[in-house]
Amino acid sequence: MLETMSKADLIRLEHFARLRTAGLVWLDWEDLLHEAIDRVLSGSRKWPKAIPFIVFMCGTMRSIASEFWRERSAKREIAMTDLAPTGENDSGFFDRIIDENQNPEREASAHEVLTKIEALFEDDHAALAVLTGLANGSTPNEIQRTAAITPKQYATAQRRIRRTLSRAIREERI
Amino acid sequence: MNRLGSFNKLDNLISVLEAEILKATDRNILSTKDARDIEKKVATIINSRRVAHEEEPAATIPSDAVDRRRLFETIIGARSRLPLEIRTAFRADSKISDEEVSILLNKFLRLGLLTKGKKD
Repeated sequence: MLETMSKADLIRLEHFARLRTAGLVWLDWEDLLHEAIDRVLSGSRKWPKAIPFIVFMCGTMRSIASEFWRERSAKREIAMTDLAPTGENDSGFFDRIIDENQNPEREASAHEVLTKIEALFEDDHAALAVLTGLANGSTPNEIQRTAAITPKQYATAQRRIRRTLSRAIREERI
Repeated sequence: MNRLGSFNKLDNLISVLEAEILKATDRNILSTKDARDIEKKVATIINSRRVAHEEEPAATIPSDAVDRRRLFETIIGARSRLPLEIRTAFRADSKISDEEVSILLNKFLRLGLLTKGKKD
C-alpha cells in the first residue's frame, strides 16, 4: 500500500511527521516517518482496512510520538518518587508530586512550541483566537461565538493557520 | 477557566491540523511550496525502507530492550564512528530512554553504522 500512495498523500505524510516532531529534540520528521514505515512493513502496526491508509499512517505517527513523550514522562516520575521521603503517610505526598509535576520537561517543551506558534499570529487576531480556541479544545461554534467571527472567517483563519504553521515548521522556525 | 496543560493544548492543535490536512483536497495539498521535492523525498524514504526490509529483515536490532541498550552502549563506546550530531546529542542527555535507544539504533542502521549479523 505504501508504494501506491498518491503524490498528495506522500506530501500529507511529510506534513504529519513534521507536525508531530515540532519541538522534539531527539526525533526529527524523517526519523518519525522511517519508524512509522518500519512498523508497518514489519507488521508490528497492522492496517485496519476499514480506515483509509493515510489516516492509519497519521495515527501511527501520532502513536510513536506519544510513546516517545510518555517514556520520558515515566522516567521523570520514577526519579522523583525515588527522591521522596519514606513513611506510613507518604501516599498523599506521592500523589501530589506526580499530579503537580506530571512532566515538567514535556510541559516546558510544549509551552515553548505553543509560544512560538502564537507569535506567528500576533498580527492576525482572528487566527490567534481560532488557534487558542482549538488548543483549548473548544468547538468551532464556541470559537466563532467567543471571537465574534463568521463560519467563513473561521474557515479561512484555520487555513491560514495550517499554511503558516506548515511553512514555519518546514523552515525550522518552530 | 481552562486547566489543560501545554502538552495537551499542543496535541489538540496538532490533531485539528492533521484532520484539516486529511480533509484538504489533493489539489490544495499539491500546491504546497516545494511539493515536488517533498513528494520525491518521501517516496525515496519509503522505497529505501522497503528495500532494507526485503534485504535484511530486522535481525540486526535486538527485540529485547536490555539487549538494545547494550548494543547502543557498545556503539556509543566507539564514538569516533559516530556522526558529530549524534555524539553531541548523546553528551547533552545521557539519561536516554528505551524508546530513544530504539529510535537511535534505527538511525544507526540507516546510516550504516550497524554491521549486519549473520543469519542462521
